[in-house]
Amino acid sequence: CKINCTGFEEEAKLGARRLARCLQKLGFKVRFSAFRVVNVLAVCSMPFAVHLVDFTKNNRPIASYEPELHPAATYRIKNLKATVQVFSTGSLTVTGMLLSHHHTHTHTHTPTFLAVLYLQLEGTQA
Amino acid sequence: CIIVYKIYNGTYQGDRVIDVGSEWRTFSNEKALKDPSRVGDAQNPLLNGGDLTTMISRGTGAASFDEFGNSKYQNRRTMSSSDRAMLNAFKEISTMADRINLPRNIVDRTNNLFKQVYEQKSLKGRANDAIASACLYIACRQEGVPRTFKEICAVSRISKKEIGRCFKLILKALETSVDLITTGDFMSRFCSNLGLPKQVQMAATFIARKAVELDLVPGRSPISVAAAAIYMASQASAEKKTQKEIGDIAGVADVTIRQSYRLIYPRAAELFPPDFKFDTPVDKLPQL
Repeated sequence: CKINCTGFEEEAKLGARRLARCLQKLGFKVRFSAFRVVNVLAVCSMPFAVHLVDFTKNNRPIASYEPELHPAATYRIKNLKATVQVFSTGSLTVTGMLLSHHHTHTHTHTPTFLAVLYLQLEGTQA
Repeated sequence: CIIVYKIYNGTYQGDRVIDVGSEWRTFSNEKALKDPSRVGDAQNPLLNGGDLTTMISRGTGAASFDEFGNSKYQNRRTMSSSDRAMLNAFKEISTMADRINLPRNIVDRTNNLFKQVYEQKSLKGRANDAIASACLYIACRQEGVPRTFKEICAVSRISKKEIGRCFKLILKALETSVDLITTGDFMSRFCSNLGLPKQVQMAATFIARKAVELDLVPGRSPISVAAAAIYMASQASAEKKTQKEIGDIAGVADVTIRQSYRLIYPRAAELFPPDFKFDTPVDKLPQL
């Protein structure tokens, strides 16, 4: 049976173990196996506001913005299989699949995107 | 016009021309008892896969009914079975479009989109009605007269979330993108539904456009901004509308209108068009 756990890496593992322990106490035969990190989410905030309409127009078709559905513009990077959600306040949410080592992934994610976005957003700062 | 007779005997055998006489053309509107036209309406081969089957219509004489009163000759054994779902969807699209009085060009565009999506089969698992609703939404957008998701929801049985999901999937499948919605796209429709005069509509359009240009409403949906602009314009004119009425028409909650209104209120004086005749001056506008 599959368990999805969200949280910091060690705490998530602890939480999953705790849940497995509960199931064990209930009487099921439990074996804890194959714990892996599948999805990494990072949040960061830019010091400037973003004009989403111009941002989307300059970055078609990679960026998509549907104000009726979600207040953020979604920017999908294909080769890294990651999604960046850009809010008009300048906050970013970076979601990515795990490729190699999760530490380097989380850290290289954000600076690269900051560079990419800053170049593209130069003309669209509010 | 020539009638082509398709000989069908388990397999396709051949064509035979049987009548080279000229065709009757029906000009008048009145339905004569006998319509001498032998070919009927023009078909739509682009959409229907183009098969020329024979259909048995309901009999009129006594001979066509058997003992129990049922019609003796059954109709339509297996007419285009592979496209039956598609024809069903076209019918559904037509019904939906009819409910909101969409013109024929949008319906045709929707049918085309649906056909492309259906043939691609990448969205095969989704409900056909959901795909049809999403196609309708995309067609309206592409024709330059976008409808809000809520308006499409109102004529469809599918939830807004599902239509939104299908919308994104279709854009990805067909590799197209659509233009972003602006506040001006909805002004004429909302104002007409509220019964506001042309002056107020023009003022509201101007206010909304100015508000977006001055970036007074970052992150707000264009629908909410449009609704707030209509509220401000109507409150400044003789035809005052309440937030609830506007919210009803636009499909936004009245708290949302209140939020957007609070953002544009401080600079109301700059937002009105220069030649606007105020029934209520700017400083007397309601402050929420």
